[in-house]
Amino acid sequence: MANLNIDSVKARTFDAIVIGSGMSGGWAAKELTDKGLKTLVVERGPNVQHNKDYPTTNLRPWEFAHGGKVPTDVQAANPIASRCYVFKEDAMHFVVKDGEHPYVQEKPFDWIRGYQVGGKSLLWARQTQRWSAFDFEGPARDGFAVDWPIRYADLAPWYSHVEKFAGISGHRDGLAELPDGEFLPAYPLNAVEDHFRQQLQKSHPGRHVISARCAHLSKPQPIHYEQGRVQCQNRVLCQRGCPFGGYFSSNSSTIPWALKSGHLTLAPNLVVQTILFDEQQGRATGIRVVDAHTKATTEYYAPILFVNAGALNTNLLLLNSTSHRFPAGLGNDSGMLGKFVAFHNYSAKMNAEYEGLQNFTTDGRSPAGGGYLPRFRNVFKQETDFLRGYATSFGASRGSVQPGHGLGASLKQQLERPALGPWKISAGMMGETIPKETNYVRLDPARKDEWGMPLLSVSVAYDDNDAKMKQDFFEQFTDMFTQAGFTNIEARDTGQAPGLDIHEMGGVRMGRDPKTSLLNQWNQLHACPNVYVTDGACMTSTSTQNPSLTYMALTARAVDHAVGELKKQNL
Amino acid sequence: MNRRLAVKNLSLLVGAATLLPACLSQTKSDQAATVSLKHVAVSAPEEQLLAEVCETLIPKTDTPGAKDLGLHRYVLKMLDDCTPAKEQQLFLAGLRQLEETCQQQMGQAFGEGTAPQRLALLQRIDQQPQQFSKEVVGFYRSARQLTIDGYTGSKYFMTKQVVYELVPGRYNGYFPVSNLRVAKPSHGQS
Repeated sequence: MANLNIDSVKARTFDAIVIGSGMSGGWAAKELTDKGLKTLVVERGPNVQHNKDYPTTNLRPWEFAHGGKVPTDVQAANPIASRCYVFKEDAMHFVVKDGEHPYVQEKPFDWIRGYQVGGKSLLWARQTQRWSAFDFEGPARDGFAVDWPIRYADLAPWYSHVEKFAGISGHRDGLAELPDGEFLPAYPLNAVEDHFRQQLQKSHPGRHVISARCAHLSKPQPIHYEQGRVQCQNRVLCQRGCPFGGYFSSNSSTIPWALKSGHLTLAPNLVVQTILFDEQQGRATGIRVVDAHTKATTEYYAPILFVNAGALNTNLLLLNSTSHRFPAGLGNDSGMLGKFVAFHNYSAKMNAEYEGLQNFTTDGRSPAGGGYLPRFRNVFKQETDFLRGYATSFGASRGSVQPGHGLGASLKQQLERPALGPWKISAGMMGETIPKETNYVRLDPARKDEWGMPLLSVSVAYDDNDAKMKQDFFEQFTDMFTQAGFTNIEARDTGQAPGLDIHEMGGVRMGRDPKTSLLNQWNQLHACPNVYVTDGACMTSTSTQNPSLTYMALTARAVDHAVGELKKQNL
Repeated sequence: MNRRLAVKNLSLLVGAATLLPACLSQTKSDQAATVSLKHVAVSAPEEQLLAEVCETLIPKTDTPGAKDLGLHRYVLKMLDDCTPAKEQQLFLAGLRQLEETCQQQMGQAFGEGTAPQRLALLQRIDQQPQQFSKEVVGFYRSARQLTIDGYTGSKYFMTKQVVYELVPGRYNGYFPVSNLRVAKPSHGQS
């Protein structure tokens, strides 16, 4: 019996445990197994195997029961998920339904989740820009949050490392505010996007329209073929899962790569309840999990743990990992755990039309989605009455015109040979928000879910800085669009709640001082250094760039550190 | 009974069920529609009326029409599953009022009118909505839009007219309009 127990414990002991298999968890798995560590990845949702589990990937529009639309009863049952742009008939099976995983909204917050192997990396918008020196220096310069314990130079080689493997398309634009990376060829701007780029150079020097940088294989390299991925075929149906592996996801890239090494054990359908802390050893020793279906609990052990559960769920897990040493949550000596949550303000949009360049349209589809304007406000110095600024997604497209009236044979003819409509232009603000103690998550004191986890209670809201920044976005883009000759310019406040940007960050922030932060410069918990947090929870500030690329780079860097420390027997 | 035989018998039953309504030339008002609906109740004659309306909107010409493509079944499916309750009620009320409107304007049932008569009636609703009840106009507009969606989203349309490409494999941001064979619902993006 004793032997059996020893064997059982041995079978449940690994060199490293990774909690979560999404964007950053997949990277942790890849890097750890590349370095030869026997690694367990636990994922709360079901497995989604590349190609095998993409049920809608090759469906034609007419093969969907509702032409791609979400039935009204599904919408009514899922008001939160329904607000997410990927919650359509082709991909809604990859989005968490409201009723399955409830949470508490102290203030309106749309929490969009993907509980499956690959997490939201299956569904993301694939925009990948590096942070710049100005972004890491931001909090210290502008006096908010706490100083980042790292600078751009610390992360630059790790950006290169992950870019080469993931495959990032982009131009080398030579901008200090948006450093260049290891790029595959960029997807080009179209006629009107390019027109705006040129006009802006004249009307607003210092503001740039560049090809959006994205995680698509425009020209695959041997390292991508080695992953089983081939050139992006411009389907732009990414949210279904891509049979070509044309865009980067854990499912198409890091997870199968790690499996191929023979060092990865992938364990789906396991919900982590707590990280085990050994009071004698003064270190984390493993995790207790509950089987999502049978509800049976098991423990797994490893000398190092990577927490990559997705920003808010990482907060939830650490808050729930209490011990005599850490009564308020693992590593939470400072009382800061769960606080200083921030996000990106996506609530401002601009629309316009352009009557020029009528001789051109586009053909095929652009995986990049068009252009990108790096932040131009308060970059080099403070120049407005609000802090920080916004990046902007920018795109132009033409479509056919639908006849508003008429019927019969003439209608049919119009539908079969439709007129080409005007150029339509859209821009979306991606605003940096300031992390504040009053924007927090905590455990609901009473309610638990069916896996025994306390419900997460979210209290996150916009502030005055966000309102001022939004006003500036509207004014600046009205001016820039007007000077570019665009017409029917409309500013639109979407009124959406925080969360729908799906860029929630923080709560377990990095910092120099254990009194005001949870993680050190290597993403280790100050007070429990064999636990690393490298998903969105670690972010000290948000900047304006889509965050995934930075999570990937931070993860690879942290794994390198962890394995180095293990070898030196420091962990 | 072994499993394979059971499955075979089951598929025979399903086959019979789908054939059955088409075998009946007479439809009765207490008979349900051939499409199985969860939220709205549509009788067989109402379904037939809708089929005639759809055919008037998208008639058979040298290319297939609404009946050939079964567009009224798509309209009912979308009405049932993807239309808010208020709009559903307006649609059904308008559909039921349409016969009355026909009697007044054409002196006969919609189904008994000639194709030009039906077209003329719907054209009046299209052009002069103020002369009709809000239910009839609401029905017409929803039916028209759903029929258009059904037509332009049909396999026929997307393979023979404005061809849908699952795998374009290209992007050109400066494509000359003069080279364009047919305008698509959306160029450049998904």
